[in-house]
Amino acid sequence: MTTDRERPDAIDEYLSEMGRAEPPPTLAHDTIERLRLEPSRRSGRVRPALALVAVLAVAVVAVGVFAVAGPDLTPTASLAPSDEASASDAPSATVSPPATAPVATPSPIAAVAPTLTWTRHELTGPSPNLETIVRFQDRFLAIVRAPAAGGDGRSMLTSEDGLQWQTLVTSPFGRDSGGLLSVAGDSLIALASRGNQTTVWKSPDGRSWELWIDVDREHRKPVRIGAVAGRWVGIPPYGPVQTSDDGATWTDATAGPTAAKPLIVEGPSGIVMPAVEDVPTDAGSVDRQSMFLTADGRTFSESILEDAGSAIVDEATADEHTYVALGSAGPPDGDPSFAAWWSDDGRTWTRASVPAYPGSPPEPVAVVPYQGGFVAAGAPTSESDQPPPIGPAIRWWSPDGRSWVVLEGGPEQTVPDPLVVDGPRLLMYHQPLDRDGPIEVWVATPAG
Amino acid sequence: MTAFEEIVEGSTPSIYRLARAFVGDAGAPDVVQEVFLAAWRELPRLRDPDRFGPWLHRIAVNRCRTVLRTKVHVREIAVSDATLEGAAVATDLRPAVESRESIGVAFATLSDDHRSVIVLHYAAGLSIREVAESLGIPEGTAKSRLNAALVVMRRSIREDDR
Repeated sequence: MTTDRERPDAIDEYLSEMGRAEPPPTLAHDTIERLRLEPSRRSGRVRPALALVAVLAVAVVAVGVFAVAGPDLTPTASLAPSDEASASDAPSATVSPPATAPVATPSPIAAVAPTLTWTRHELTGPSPNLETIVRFQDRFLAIVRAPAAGGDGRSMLTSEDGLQWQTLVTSPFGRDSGGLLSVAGDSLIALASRGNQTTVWKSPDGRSWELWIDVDREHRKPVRIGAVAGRWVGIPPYGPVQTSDDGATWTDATAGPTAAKPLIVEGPSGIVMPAVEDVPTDAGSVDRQSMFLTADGRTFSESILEDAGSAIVDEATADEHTYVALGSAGPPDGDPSFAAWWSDDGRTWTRASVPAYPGSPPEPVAVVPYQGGFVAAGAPTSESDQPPPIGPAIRWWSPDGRSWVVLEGGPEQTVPDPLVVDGPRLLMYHQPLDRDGPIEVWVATPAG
Repeated sequence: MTAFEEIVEGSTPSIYRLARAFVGDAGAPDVVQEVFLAAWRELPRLRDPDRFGPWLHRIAVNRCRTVLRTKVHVREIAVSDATLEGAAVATDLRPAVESRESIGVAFATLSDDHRSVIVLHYAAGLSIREVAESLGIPEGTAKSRLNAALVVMRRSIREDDR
């Protein structure tokens, strides 16, 4: 038995040891890999959020809390087209210049925002740690972090109303940590992490899952997958988009986008993918925001969004008639403004009219078809050397994608998170991650 | 995201130590990933970049508390056999595990508030002022909580020795 005199020393040693523990050597790398699975925000130019991060890095060094250092981990290598590509796979591409000048077209439908009634709920169920949520086969499905006894896995939850949840299956991905859910055709796709690698899982119903794409050494497996005309189209973390007949063999599309944003929109004319292509010029190169369309998973057409000036697409979606995209656009050397575009066929894109925002444009983070129109949500941003103003989330409404107006009302403090539509109900989930508390669910329904 | 990746690289040791002190070796890596994921998602809500460090640590502390609550729940379900068996084993092995075991027990029985100041100060290496900022409490309160936590731990060990 130790003495009282020895105990305080032991306490000191215990506490000192706390501060000496070293993380597993790959932990930071694994974390970065997982962050790359996150739906990306702005890309292609210095963005407000990114600039804030740069400021943070400096601030963090200044206060000495962290030692900020590290290599540029952005992949720079680009792979040559795969040897597996066959003649039948050889995609063709057409490039369309912008069909219209970047002038907003008037909407044939008066853009009068509907009046919505919002009610706040708290999510109930077996776990408060919601990771992703989708609507699939007339029900809600979500992946949650649900540590089981002796384990640390995930569970798949299901809900009829999006508010009350129950466990559908535990550890659906074995020892892999499942994260992002998406719907591709008739399948549910999940991206999972295994160490610093990504695996892709597929399910017909959310209950039974098969390991679809195992780890590879090149880190080029798709991180977003869509289905069109019986073929799969996948967007890898970098490099050319990939296509597959069976999901087992993926080949690089030689004429598709080479820098697609991890965003696939399935719409009336096929799959649309926003991409920022690096275009060589006499002076070097410029970024060009394009929208790629494929109706068959083999051939791609490219539509340049703005012929003069820059454009960034942050979010996009489609209903059965129209594709819409939201982001920002501006002159080459000028400040960008909030912008939106629409297209009936995925090829011809036209600038939509949007509310004006002096200063830095807000950043759209979600857009969904709703009640015959579209609802979008965004967050305020700031100039590069300023912290972002924390204001209420901004929501917009468009009856047809051609004109957008501010959607008034709703929760004020909520930064927009996933929007999920269930008939007349619009559900907005928000997990207050920087404080204790349950997940909030705001449900909007048309008034009257 | 390169700048944020640099932050992840630089901050991982601190957040890992914090998480490990709270939830143990096995759960710490996952908590670290979730903390940075949360920080990345919530970044637009941060008003003042100078407060990034405390803000990140607050996210980490809250995440750990949530994990602990879940684990407590799991343990309560299994209380009938496992806890009684574990208690018996702990008693039998007491001479071997010696002080480290009892200090660990003393630490584990601290309140959330006391454990948070201990972990932020000793594991994450934050100053008292930074601990206070992270928890949103006055500096004097952070200092008194830290002292009280140490007193509680020492008292717990002494009572254990009797």
